[in-house]
Amino acid sequence: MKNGSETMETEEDLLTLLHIKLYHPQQSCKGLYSLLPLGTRSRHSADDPLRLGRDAQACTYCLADPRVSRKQLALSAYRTPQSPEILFSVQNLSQRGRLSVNGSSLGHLEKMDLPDKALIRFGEYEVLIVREPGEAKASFEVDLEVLPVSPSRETCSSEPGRAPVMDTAWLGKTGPQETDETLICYS
Amino acid sequence: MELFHWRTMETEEDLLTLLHIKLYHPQQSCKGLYSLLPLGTRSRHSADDPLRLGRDAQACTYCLADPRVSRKQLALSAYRTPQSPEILFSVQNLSQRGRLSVNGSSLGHLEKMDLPDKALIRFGEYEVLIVREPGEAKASFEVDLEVLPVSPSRETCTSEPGRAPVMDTGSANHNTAGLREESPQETDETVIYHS
Repeated sequence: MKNGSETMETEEDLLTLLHIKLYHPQQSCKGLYSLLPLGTRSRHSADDPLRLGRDAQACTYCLADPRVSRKQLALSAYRTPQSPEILFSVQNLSQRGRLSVNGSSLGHLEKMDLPDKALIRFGEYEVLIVREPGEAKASFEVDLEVLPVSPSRETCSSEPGRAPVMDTAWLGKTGPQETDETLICYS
Repeated sequence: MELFHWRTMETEEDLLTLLHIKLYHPQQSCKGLYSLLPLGTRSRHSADDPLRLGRDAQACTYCLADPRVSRKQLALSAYRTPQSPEILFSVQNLSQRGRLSVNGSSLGHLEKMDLPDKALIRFGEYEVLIVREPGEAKASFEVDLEVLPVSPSRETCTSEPGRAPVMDTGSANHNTAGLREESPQETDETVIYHS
């Protein structure tokens, strides 16, 4: 399934893909995501950081939420000499609050390498980012989605057909053994 | 102290981090390579935006009017660590065509490294000497942009009295990689140019 969903430059070259999934407890009643291209896949140049924040001019992805910082965080692509892969670092651009990345806390302008599966938190937002490696090129792709439930709760999103890596196995919780099962949602 | 006159202060005690960027290219006198650069000025930049150098004026903070330069040649990105309030920088090679040399280390496309406080960056025939003067960490930093009359990596050195002392060959005595020249002892001396 992976092969069918990725843009290919040649028959063998797949672009690195970032799955970005958002959750906010009030996402159903506020138009937080009204400025986001949800459910789409977009391509980005690797030499430009991806910015998330309230400022539509300055950010790649804009959250329509006055409590979000104008520039909240940046994801920057890079490579190491050891590997052709495109990797990412995440930087807290907010002067107001800290950014949590898999439990590590970043202050203003602090950065760290983005783990291949990263749960980023700021305010009440939870942003789950999963990196699918591809051939290193000058660009990568981004999938943007909304999660119906919090990724850090005991329950998990039950969306059969999504990338299996999204299931609770990663969050260390006891989950169903079959990834295609529809789960009962505990609210 | 002379340094104070060069530094913008937000409050009486707060000085912004300052990057001295000095350029050299062997044909800089006969080609308008720097025609799009704000030479001899000091500008302020937000720390949450990378500084880009390249041929593309739209995409870059500093644009070189040289068709041989990549559209986006390199980026300088500010960051902080938990251990210190200082603003530090990393440098990344944005060019798909060539490698970037930073104090002798070679970076391929999209590779990056922490920028040393005194860094000699080379690409093509360009030599870009960058010296970071720490200041109070804020949301911004400043940049001085200048041209060097002679190559910073040659035996002779720039002789510009009144500039920040850190720029003088004293730095060569500290084993700064890439600056291999023999240096005069008095920093204010006019140096005889050996061609």
